[in-house]
Amino acid sequence: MKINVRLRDFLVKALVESMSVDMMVTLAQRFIPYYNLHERTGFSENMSVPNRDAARQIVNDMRDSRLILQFAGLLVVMHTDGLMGRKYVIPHMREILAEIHDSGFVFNRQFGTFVEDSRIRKTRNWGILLEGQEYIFSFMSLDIVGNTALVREYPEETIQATYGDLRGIVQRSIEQREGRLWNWEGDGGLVAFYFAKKFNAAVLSSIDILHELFLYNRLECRLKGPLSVRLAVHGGPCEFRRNTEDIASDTINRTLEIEAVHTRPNTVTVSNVVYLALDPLLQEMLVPVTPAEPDILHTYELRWEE
Amino acid sequence: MGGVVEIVLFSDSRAVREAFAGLSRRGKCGVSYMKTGDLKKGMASLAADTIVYLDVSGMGEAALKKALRLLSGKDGARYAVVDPKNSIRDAGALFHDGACDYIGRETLRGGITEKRIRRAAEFRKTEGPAAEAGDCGLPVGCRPSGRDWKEIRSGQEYTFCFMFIELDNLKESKKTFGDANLSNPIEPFLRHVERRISPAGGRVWMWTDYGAIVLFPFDGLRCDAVLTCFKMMLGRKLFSIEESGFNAWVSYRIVLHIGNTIYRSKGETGTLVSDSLNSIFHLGQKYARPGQFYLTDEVFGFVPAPLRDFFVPAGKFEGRDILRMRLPL
Repeated sequence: MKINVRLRDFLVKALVESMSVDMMVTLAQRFIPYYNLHERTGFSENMSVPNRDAARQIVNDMRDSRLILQFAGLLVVMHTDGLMGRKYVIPHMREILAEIHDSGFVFNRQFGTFVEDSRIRKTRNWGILLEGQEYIFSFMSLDIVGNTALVREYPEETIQATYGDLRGIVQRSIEQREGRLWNWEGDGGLVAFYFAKKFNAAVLSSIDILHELFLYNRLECRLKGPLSVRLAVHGGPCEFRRNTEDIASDTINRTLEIEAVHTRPNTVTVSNVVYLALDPLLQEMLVPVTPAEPDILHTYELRWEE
Repeated sequence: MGGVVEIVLFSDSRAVREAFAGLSRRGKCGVSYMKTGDLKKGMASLAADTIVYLDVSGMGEAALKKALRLLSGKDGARYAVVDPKNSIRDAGALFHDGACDYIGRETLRGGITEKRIRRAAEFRKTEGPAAEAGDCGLPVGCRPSGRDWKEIRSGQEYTFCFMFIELDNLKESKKTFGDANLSNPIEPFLRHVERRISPAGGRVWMWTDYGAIVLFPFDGLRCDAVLTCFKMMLGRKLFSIEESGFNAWVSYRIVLHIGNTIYRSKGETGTLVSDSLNSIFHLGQKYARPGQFYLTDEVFGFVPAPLRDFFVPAGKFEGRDILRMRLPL
């Protein structure tokens, strides 16, 4: 995100008018551990840094480290919810929000940070992830069952239209939960979720996709039989690369393995890591894949009352 | 109407022909096929009780007008329109001009049933406003309100699709959570209802304490409210988890009915007397069980064919057959 001068000035003023230099440094250290203000400004250790110089230096460093949105998000949280048990009134908040909004980002209360305004743009890094940095993601893998047979049996237009419909279902479902499609290879793809309730979001999206696909198969599908998919959700650390197809990650590999090896058609399989992090209600919707091993994998399928 | 119904389908599309092919396989309808370009020639040699189905997908506006003029101009001819691209904006006008059926994209995908063909045949055979409505499964005196709200005026009587929706078990919830805390699920629930109904043209007409009466415009041809409610039942657990903010399963019941009422704007309904409104309230508050979705027989005729097996008979109420949706577990 490009930071304009007005936003930088409002952030500087907000810091200067609402907190001490020590508090500014505490905030900076949340994003840059061991942040040393004296070293950054050139003031010697035995001199106090004037608060305007401190604020300007910190804002510039956040900008250079591409952390300005996260930093501004923290100020919003301080202003609305307080920080470390104390309430803060941060001035110029409306102007800061307006400037960031004009750049295509909105504050998401649920995630406690600024995210891309998905009505304006959707990028694979939500506009904030940095190249080469490691983050915790939740991944959802989707694969069309019997792709090879379908491609042989139906004309190309039918297959393209049907798979295009499926992609539309997937995109609608994940984007309303701030997921991003990192990879789509015609017969399936990989979706990443990053924000606060990332595990819930991935599992809810998977279930929603199964529901939508059920209706699609009943009402719209061009094929003679229903279109079937396998879905798997797993989470863990992964290094971010802008070219997401090139990312090599154990977490992604495990997600793909769960989907390919342990998932039946028209079901979602959820790893134990993800299952343990889910809301209790969502856990209630899942059952162990193997009843004898309830701690390994859980699954969901759409079943109907007789 | 127990004999074989003869149909001639004028279409150049293989997909449309395939949709009709099942009829002749079952032997209850005789289907023959002709090219669209042969319409004029084919019409001249038709038997009197044959129904003509014309596929309009390849036609421009002028050609369509000409074809419809030809069909409606032949005395006693029964004809219907197949519209695989949903390109006809005012399908209702076809019926004013004498058509006996209209098959849009969704219906075509669901497959053409013998029952539909028989109803189409019967529809034109027994003309006359009241009989027309009764025979096509609509309430006697049906006054379709249209596909949207453009033509609906306060003080006029129309046929609508009524939806009753209300949160369940509120006495229990009051005891458990307290009156003040109940606003937690109610507000998100009401927003959820509004968001779900609006794509199908639904509008909240009356708020009740814990739910709403919703009106959907009804054009006599389709009832999108069914799919809206079906989706709400399918996604009810996701709503509890994602939107309710209540940390507990939120249960609601839904009833759909098609009937007439004098329409008055929201907030001006205090003195309104309407049998249909009474019926839907009684159904929702006295008959419907928690967490279930019911519809009256009038609505069932508009359930998309591939979803019909998800509805099971649930008895009679005030002389009406009621059906209940089988729920996802």
